[in-house]
Amino acid sequence: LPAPDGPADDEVDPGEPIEALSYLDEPVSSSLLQRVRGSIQRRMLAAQLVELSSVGALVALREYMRLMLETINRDDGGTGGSR
Amino acid sequence: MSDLPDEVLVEAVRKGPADDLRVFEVLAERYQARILANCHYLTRSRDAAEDLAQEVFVKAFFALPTFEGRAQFRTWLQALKINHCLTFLRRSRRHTMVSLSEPGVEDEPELHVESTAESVLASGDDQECIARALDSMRDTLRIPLVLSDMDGLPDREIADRLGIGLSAVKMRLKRAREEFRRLYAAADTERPVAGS
Repeated sequence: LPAPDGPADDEVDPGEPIEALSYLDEPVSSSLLQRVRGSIQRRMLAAQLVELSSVGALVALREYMRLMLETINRDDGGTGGSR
Repeated sequence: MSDLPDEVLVEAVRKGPADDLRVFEVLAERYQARILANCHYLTRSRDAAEDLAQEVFVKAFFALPTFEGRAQFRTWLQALKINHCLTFLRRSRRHTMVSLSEPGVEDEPELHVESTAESVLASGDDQECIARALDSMRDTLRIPLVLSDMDGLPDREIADRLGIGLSAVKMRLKRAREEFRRLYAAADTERPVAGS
């Protein structure tokens, strides 16, 4: 006897595949590859800009912190020297 | 370079400079006609197919580092394309896959497309006849047919992707093939008459 969930699936014979569809293609305009290239380059540029801006922000923050620490150290040194 | 197998080209893209698209373009050129046709007949829109094919290749390029080579590149690209097209269809609400599981849908009169046979007869080209026959079929029949006979997906995978039962897929395929053959045979028989 077939499995309980088997009979319904096996009852239908979907027939032979349409062979012509297996090699069906479409005339392609020459602009498709150009559009692909343009789209990829735009996305890469956008990613680079995002990376650059985030790196820039980090560098600015680091410089700000460094200057702040230098100022604090200088002030501490100056105060100690006057005593 | 165009004679090299996919695996070699894929490896060259992965190892090459990120901004060098030449090798990837060889791959894209190899599959663009097929991808475009698939997108066209899945969505039934030539205009949308151009955009979809473009997006599939762009997506493939950026996803290539995650391609592990377990499947063939062609199969991987095909999976990307099918996912992209089915998402497009769901978003545009032009598909009727939900209704595939509804009882009685098999008897919908809209499934019978005799009236569109005339448009098929007007064509004098095999490719054009096939295209018109496919374009005249409803989503419920055309999409499983394209996924099966054009993409070569197994019935079980079609069922999973469309969210319907295996028996429903087989029934749809049976009807779709009968419908397609009828439309195409009519076109083939009447072509000289149509041309005269």
